[in-house]
Amino acid sequence: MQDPMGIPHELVEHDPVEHYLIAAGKAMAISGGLLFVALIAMSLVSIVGRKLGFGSVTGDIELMQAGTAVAATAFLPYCTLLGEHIKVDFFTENMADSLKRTIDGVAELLLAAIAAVLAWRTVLSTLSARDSQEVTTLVSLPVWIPTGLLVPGLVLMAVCALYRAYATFHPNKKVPGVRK
Amino acid sequence: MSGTTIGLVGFACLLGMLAIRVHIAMAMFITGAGIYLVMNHGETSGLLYTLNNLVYARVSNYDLAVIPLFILMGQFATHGGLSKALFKAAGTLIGHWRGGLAMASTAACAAFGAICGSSLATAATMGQVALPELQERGYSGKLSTATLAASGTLGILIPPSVPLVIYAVLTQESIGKLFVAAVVPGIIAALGYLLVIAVIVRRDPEAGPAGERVPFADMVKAQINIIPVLLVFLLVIVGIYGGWANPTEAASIGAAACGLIAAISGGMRGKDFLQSVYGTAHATGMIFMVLIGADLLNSSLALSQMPTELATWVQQSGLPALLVLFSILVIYILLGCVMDSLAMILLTIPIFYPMIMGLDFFGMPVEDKSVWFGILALMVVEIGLVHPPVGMNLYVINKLAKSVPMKDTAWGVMPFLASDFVRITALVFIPGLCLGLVHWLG
Repeated sequence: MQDPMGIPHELVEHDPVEHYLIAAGKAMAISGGLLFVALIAMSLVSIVGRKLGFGSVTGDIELMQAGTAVAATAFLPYCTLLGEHIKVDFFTENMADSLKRTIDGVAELLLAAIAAVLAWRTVLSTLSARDSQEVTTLVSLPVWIPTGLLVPGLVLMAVCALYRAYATFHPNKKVPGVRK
Repeated sequence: MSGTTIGLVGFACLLGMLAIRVHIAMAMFITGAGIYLVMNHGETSGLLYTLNNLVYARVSNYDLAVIPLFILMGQFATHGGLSKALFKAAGTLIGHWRGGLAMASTAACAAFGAICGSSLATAATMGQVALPELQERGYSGKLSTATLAASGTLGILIPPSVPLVIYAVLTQESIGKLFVAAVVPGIIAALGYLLVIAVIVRRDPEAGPAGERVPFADMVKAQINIIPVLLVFLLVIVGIYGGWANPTEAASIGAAACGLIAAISGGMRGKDFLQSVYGTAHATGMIFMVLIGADLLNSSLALSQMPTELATWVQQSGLPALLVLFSILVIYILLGCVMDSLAMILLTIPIFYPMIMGLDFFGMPVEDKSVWFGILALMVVEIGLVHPPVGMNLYVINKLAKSVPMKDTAWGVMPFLASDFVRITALVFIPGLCLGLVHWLG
């Protein structure tokens, strides 16, 4: 079983592809982190403003919702590269390594396929939100913008999972994120 | 085929996929999609339409924003060296008692748990600080590792607590109420562990030799150092329950305050900040992916009406309510042998919650029952972290204390587990333990 919410292990790169994937995954994670820092700042201004009688930031709840969605999705590729999506390995502990590698590869392929489907459907949802000019209630933020910003995270997640599947199927390759 | 049958077959497939190492999020997603397709007689348009908005609708949730914020807060606490200050404060206070330093570890874990929502992070950070010192003072390896593995669970039992947020989101329960309800049981858990240590060192004084008393001035200084940490906890809990900040805002305050403390007194620098962000990305990515899968699964189960049908069946079967409850708790303990607590909550609450809500327990009103079951579920799923074979806390601590064999740690936690069982039984029969504070404040 993986280590939920512990301290993540270091990603080790073995070849140039991994170099770029890790850099992209980390860059997205950091941008998500910075977005959260901005959201925290907004929340603080909101509370202090309300307490002092200036009122909270207009639409703070909408912005927090949209921001969380974008930032949390930006975290997905990094987590995928680490191979840290939760799975149960209790029943397969004594399984032969080669067989385990094969089913892990299939699992990564499934992850890639589903991430790709989600990215595709989210693109459609973005387009329809833009056509219908749907906006949030208070600050009139067009909904298609945060929806569209989810797509890069999902696409990169699909690519990362696909790469991990490829590396898992190649006996000579090391899988990024596998612990030493 | 009736909806209930489809739901049950789907659930069986889900468990099968989990057993062969499919990611939990993916297994939930595939099962959910499968149930959708079968319910709609192979028509794909309904499923595709649901998928359009699945990700955005699920992750743009104001209550769920609490999770990454609390995780970030815990990461700051972890990387900012706050654990050291807490351990020192508790150590100077009671370290001269027999077994005192082990008790100090428990107390420090409890305090750390009040600003961190993760058991593993609590066990790992406190372990790094406390284990070397326990070893130096001649504490037995078994007592040291078992104390830390068990006390690590206080990270989750004492709010803020990520599984409780997920329970709240799944059941439309108030996060603030659940956090307040968890306070007293969390303190009882800490006291129970202290008692266990006291009994162990009484029977075997060699296990935890008494240390020397620390000069009074040093003791006071160590206590002053941790005041900011206590303030953060009070700010978060009082803020939420006092009604001047909602949980998301309180979590923002907590994260900002912890970040500040970590930067000023803990020496957090750019590198540590990045590590905190990576840690948050790692945990949040993992949790949100499972949430997305669980969302599709739960809406498909709702479509099949399996949970309501099952709940009605249990209600009409005339089974004693307490028997149903204990069966559910036993299922949690068994599931805890193979999967982690978040997955358990997401997988089972949609099915167990309607069952419990349909039964009568001591004539409790519905809103009390919902909070009470949440706290019970939290406590039982957390036991999975310390009992063999896959208790993650055992592994985390074992990695830190290489000289202590795993077998010793596993045996060492048994008395702590016994105190867990006593506490859970007490909470089943005395719901006031968690509801008292809620009623008093509400």
